[in-house]
Amino acid sequence: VTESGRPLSRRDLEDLVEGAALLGAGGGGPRWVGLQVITAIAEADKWPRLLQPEDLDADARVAGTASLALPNALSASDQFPWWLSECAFTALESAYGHTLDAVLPIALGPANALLPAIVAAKLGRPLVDVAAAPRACPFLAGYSYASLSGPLLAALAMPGRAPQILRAPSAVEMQQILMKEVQSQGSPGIASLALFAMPANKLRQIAYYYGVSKAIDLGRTIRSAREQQRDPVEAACSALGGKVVFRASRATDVPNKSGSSALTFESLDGRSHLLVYHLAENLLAWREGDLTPTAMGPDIVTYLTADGLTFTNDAVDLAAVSGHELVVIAAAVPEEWRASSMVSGWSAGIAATTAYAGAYVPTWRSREIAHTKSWPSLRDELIHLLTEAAEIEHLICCQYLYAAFSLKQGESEGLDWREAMHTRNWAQLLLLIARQEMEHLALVSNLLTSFGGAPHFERPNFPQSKRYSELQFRLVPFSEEMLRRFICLERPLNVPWREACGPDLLEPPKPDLSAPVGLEFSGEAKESLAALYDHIGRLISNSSDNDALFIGPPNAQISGDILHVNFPRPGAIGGVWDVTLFDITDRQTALRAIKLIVDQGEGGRGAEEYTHYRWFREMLEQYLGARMDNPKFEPARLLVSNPILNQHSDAGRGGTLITNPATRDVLCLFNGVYETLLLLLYRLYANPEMTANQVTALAYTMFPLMTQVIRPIAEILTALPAYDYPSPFRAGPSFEITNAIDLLSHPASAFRVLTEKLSALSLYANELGARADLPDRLTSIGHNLFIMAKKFESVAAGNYPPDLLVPGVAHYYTQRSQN
Amino acid sequence: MSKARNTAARSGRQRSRTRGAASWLGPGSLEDVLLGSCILGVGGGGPRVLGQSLLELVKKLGVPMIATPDDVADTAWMAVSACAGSPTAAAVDPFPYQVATVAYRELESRTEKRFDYVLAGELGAGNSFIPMLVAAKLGLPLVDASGARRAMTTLPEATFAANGVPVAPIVTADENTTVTFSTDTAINADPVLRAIISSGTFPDFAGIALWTMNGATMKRSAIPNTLAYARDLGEALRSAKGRDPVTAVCGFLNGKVLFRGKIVNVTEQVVAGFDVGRTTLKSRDGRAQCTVYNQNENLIAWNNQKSTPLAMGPDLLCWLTADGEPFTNAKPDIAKYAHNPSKKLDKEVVLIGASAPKQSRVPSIIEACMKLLRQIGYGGPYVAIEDLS
Repeated sequence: VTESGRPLSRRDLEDLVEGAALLGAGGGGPRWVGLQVITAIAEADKWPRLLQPEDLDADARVAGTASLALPNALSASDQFPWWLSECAFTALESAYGHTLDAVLPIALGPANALLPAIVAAKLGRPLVDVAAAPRACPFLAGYSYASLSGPLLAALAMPGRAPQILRAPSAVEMQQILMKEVQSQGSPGIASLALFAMPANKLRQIAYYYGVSKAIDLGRTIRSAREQQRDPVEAACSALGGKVVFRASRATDVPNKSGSSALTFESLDGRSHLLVYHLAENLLAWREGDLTPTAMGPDIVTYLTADGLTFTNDAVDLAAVSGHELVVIAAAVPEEWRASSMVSGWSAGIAATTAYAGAYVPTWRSREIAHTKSWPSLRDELIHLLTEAAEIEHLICCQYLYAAFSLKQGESEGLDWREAMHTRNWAQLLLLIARQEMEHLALVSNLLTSFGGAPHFERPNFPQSKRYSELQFRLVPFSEEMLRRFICLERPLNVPWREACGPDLLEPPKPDLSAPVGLEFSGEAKESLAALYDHIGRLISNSSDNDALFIGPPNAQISGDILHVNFPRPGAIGGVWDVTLFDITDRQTALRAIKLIVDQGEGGRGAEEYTHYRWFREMLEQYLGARMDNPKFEPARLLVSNPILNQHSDAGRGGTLITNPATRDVLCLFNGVYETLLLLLYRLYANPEMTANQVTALAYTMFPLMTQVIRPIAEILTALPAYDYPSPFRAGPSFEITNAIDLLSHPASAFRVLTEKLSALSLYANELGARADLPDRLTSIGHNLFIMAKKFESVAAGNYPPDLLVPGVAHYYTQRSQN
Repeated sequence: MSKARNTAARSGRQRSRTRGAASWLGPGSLEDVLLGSCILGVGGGGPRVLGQSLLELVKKLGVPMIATPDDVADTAWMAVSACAGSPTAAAVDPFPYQVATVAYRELESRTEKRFDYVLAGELGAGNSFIPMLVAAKLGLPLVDASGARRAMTTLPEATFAANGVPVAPIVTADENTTVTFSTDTAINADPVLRAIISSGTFPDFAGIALWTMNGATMKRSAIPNTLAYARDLGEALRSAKGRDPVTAVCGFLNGKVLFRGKIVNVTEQVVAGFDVGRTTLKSRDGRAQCTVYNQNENLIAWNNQKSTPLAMGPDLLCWLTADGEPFTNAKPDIAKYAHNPSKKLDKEVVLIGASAPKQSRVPSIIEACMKLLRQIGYGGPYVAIEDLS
């Protein structure tokens, strides 16, 4: 195996230190040790090779290595004796009686991920792309390798001493022996150890796969955010699926009487504190004064400075970030690491070293509770899942629109003609995808109606914690990170997570067409959207006539005929706006709708050409190619992420408050129009109670509202300053739902309300357009709204000439009115 | 003046100044005081076995007169008498309570006050009896009041501290040596006191006398009738024959059973010079687990099925076996009830929670408790037991 694997560059190793520092959860060895190890590797000019675990020969044997040090000993040391790891590894090899073909990382941490790398480099053996856990643990028993059967063998190397071979019946006892040795009288307090020798086939069963690659990717994400002047904290949160739980001006470490230490973070205003209890690795974060901990192991509590520097609980690392704004992030570990045995091990450790012995408080608890409901009937379950699907489609659509609106629009914004062609194409493609997401939302609404449920156009505000494929839903400008997130989101059912969301993304897709489709849907955040639809589809397929699912009134269905989109347009996919809508009245049409949604989005088997998944992959390839040609190519305007006009209780942390007064006024207009659109949609889906003219009025107002009002205001917002102080950052459409959006139940009053809203928005847009500090274009938008309001009122009352009711009629009508 | 004449003169003056004292606490009631004090010791306050030996000493010396606070003249003088230090160092038989007498006399001399009464700082299986022994030895009445209606971990938890009674001068003593010091507050006195006692001058154990005050101050700052409360609690427990003793104790304390199960683990670790104990109970079906953290006295309790605490100090977390035996966290006590199949020890115990009296629910005492909880790794706020579901 020695010739296998891909070489790791210095950049890779630097990214590994940063990513592993985040995954080290405060521990995993100090960051400064990791950086020293890179220097040592560079000086020796021997670079490690990273080998995928599946590429190990079945009869190969491997072992791990890591450091073990007392905090005081580390603080007193200028140079970490990294060479001890090599001593420990070779000593273990002798005691084990087999050649060790490759080196394993045990813990992901800035030092502990790098020490195996230098051992691998020095001994010319590959480093295996695994870890023993998705985070560094304070207890050996918290690592998957601890499940090895039989007595454990370890080699311990300390400065000035011959390596010792230690044996223990279990990881718990081995930890006690190791700690006793390192804490013993005369011990230098610093050691390296090698342990967990095992055959490759065993490793494949128990390892946390691609741990090194994931850490490198995480480090790269933070670095690129820094380089591109994006928010590194946001980038880290997005990559980790985490959230900011505290921002602090400083932190001080105080030992407590139970054996752990509390790193106390003081908030920026000095009024509150967050205590992070740790044993090097963080155990528990607790906002002072809260009755329940903020986050706790096995979930990750980790740190970053606001400007993107990683650090650990080590005193030297902490001193290095003095004066920076410190950010504490909490992120859930993957679900399999939250198994009850894992949680009880962590809980016991936490109870023994802090004064918390209560129940495990998962970081994303509310979502999980939402998913653990059981349903009294198939109808209930379908309505629940489709309501969830409606919310997700809506959230996704807004994200795609934001990305599309963020793109620069031509040479006037510093692009050359090729780059301008790219951004135009990408914007068109993103808008097409967004329209198809609207179509999915409409089909899901028809499905809901057909099952007797209610269409659902509400959704929580941005940003949202991870929903599907472990991803957050956020409004961010076009970027590589955004494309990777969208690819992951649209992952087909039979494409492994790693291929769509992991380090192999840039390789050609290798969907396994023979893989079984339709594994059990758990409803957890790790699931893909495709799995959600697959589950809905199977529920419908497996339903019997006795279930009498399709009880909704057929005339409540909104088809392409009602919206007048069922005619082809050259270049369009589907109807005139790339939208295909049909009535859903039975199992066949319901399954057709699910198939259409999946075929357009993820692709049923991952190999189709016209899918969102493939389009996003192509966009990423084009983007990376363009960046190769011009490393300074920035396709997007410098927009803030998750702009907000107001704080929302249903949104996660990470919203960017727009503070520029003029921009706020335009954002207010935008949100008003967006909310009106949602009210129109609700009213449209309650169509059986309305006259044909009223339905027509709604159908004919919706599309112009999107194309002639929402889109231009969004474009204006991307050019307006975000802040009330000089800053290059611009705002963007926030898609906020600030008021209760619901069905206006009574048609007569509903049409009056909607007409009034359109008229009021028209006046407001005109008022803004007249201001010197805002673009004139708002006046045109005001005129469009005025025409829409008049036409809406007229059509609903049956006073509008029927022959003029064709798409795009507003412009025509305007001309007629003026004539 | 000779020692004999001094004592006679004192007795004469005393009769006029301590006229309200009565001997309501007969030898028979002492057992009830022990039972009640052991429960109110909330895991600390000295081992029950120590309390039993002190009780015998009291009987030998003669039970002192007990004065209710209302009967104490505003101008009468008294101070708090106690012992402090390592329970292990104090585990000698007979218990050297005389060190508390030495300290008390020294404080009297230092303050140039003539003490008419002895005052207790707290309750506990051992700690209820030490001031009683000092009172009996010195022939002074004991005031039925104290700075806490439970055992406390640190001086600032006393109502005397909360009411701003000057804690100094403070005398620490063994039979041969006295050390007197002054600090401005009980918060500052606590670490100095611990430092002196463990400095090597004393055998990790000493008598202490502090909080010199007159009757008016005592009435303003002490919790009245604490000894009678302990006695009545003990009596309620003792007289619950044929009935559920746990219900009887809960009824008296207006408390509730926080957890019922077997003690499966008792750990004590010394970290940075502090002893922190942890007692783990498992429910009968093995599903739920309760962990109680203590620093001698029980500080906070958790159920592993809930993310909020069951109760915390200054509220009471009391131990009782299901068949009505109070016990403490001291090894000789708890070892009797910890689950140990090899020794056929399999007793069910209950953790009872009850509200602290209103005098102990003032900000400074809550703050003192929260400081202790912070030091052992609790990051939350104080929430009264009745507000914790």
